[in-house]
Amino acid sequence: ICPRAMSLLESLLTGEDVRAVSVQDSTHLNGRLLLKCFLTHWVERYPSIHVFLYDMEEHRWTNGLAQGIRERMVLHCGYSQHWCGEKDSDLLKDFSVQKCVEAVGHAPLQEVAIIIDSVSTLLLHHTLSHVIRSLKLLGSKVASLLYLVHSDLHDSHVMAELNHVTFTRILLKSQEPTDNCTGQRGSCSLVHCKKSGRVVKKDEVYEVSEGYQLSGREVDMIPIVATRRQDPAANLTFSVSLTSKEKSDRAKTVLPYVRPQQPASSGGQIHYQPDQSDDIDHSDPDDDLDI
Amino acid sequence: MPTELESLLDKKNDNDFVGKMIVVSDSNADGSFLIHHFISQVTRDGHLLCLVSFTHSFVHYNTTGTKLGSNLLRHQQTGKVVFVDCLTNLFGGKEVLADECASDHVAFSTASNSSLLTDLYHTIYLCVKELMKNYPALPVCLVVDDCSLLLSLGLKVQELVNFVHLCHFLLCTTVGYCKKSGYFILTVHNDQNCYDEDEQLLKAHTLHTCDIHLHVEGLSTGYSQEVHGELIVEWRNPEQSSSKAALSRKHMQFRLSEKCVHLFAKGMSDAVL
Repeated sequence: ICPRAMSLLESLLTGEDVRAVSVQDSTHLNGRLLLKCFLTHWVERYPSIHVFLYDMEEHRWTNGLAQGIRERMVLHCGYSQHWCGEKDSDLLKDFSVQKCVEAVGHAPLQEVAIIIDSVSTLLLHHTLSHVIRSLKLLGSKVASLLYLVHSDLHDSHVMAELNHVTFTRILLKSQEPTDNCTGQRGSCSLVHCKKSGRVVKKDEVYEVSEGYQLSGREVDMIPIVATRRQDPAANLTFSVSLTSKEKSDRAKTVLPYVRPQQPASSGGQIHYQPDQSDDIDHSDPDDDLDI
Repeated sequence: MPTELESLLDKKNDNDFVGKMIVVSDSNADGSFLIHHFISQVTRDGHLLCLVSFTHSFVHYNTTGTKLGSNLLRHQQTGKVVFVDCLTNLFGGKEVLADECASDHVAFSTASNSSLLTDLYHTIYLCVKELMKNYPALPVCLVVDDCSLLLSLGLKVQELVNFVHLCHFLLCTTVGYCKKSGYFILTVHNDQNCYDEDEQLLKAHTLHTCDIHLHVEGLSTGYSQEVHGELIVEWRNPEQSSSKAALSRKHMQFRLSEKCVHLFAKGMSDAVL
């Protein structure tokens, strides 16, 4: 039995070949689930993970995360700083690469993963060009950058610009609860630019179980269970098949309007079998012509 | 005895909505009956109310509240309800002073659009502060009816979204003034058959933040005497606090009567059965 190959989503969770990843959600498809899945897996890989939070206050965002994960991440709550009016440290109003690097502190940037929730809130307070420049620069400085974008809050031009600076984008397409209602399953489209330059596009389905544990697989690789074809004549009370004698008798039957095969003669001939009521005149109809 | 709407919203205790943001939206139908229901419920539960209205006068809310069994005027006289009249005094000449929040009606004015919302927020903040000073143990509810009207006055979506976030921060967060002992009810209007980008954007922004969304829409087949529209209730979990589904939904139809709203499953109206 061959082990199942890792899906692209699962390989991104391991942090392999990950640079800048954007998760694009909407009002009915919550991307924060994937953010928390990435966080849960990335704490095992990166020595230092920093979360820059702009959409809600800290205790609400960390609600549901295991204590071990909370202790291993550093959360910078730009939301509380901004709305509380903290002038000295307002990571939302003063968002820039320099401020983010200062917030990260002494940890070497090549070992740091940054998660931003969300870029849509940053775009409410800063110009598109500033945000894009900052994301591009930040993504090049740190080991991995992951950010959430609410795609229904921006027009196609803004989304195209954001897609341009990201190396991996995950677009959510559907979400529904699992059968036992303890988790979720969903589907997404991924576009991933590898370090070699090759671009991979995949449609994948995923399932998230308790504790933000994610497993995924490609849509094409969903196993199709071969169904045995059932013989429709198996359980009938009468026979619909022919015995060998019946088959040979059928082959010998001469159909009423089929003539036996005759050797081919020159020219076409018409064979007509007159009925009793036919009145055939055997004289030549052209006799009276004086040519 | 809980009303049909309270049963639909699964409201068991008076404080079930405290700390939450509720968005009421409508499309090709009038969802204002929900606002009147919530106002009536807030006063019946004994909570404090700051009602900001761009659509109706206080008399209208009081008259409708009387039919639903609540006396808004009496609650206002006891200091539990403050009405911010934005309908008649949007661009008036009266400036807001801190001590005016103690009066029954609070009017405000501003010269330019960008400071209009700042002044409005300042007014709301002072009203909420005054309410909590008089009754410190009671939750306070802020109702804004109807937020999307401000778009017609030329305000930008970004300014309105910031205003909504400020109100949410004030009432529904642990670091806000109310220390999560308040709740925020907001109405937005967005007709699906006439595409208004600003209204759609405002609605999307509010939905990304809210905890409960009630959407009223007309029947797709047209008007009916027995069924007045459809009501969709969504319970949202924006922070995704567990691996469970972040969105659960109930879809009902309703018929309005003089004093209440009757809810039933789709296609199960008494007229049909």
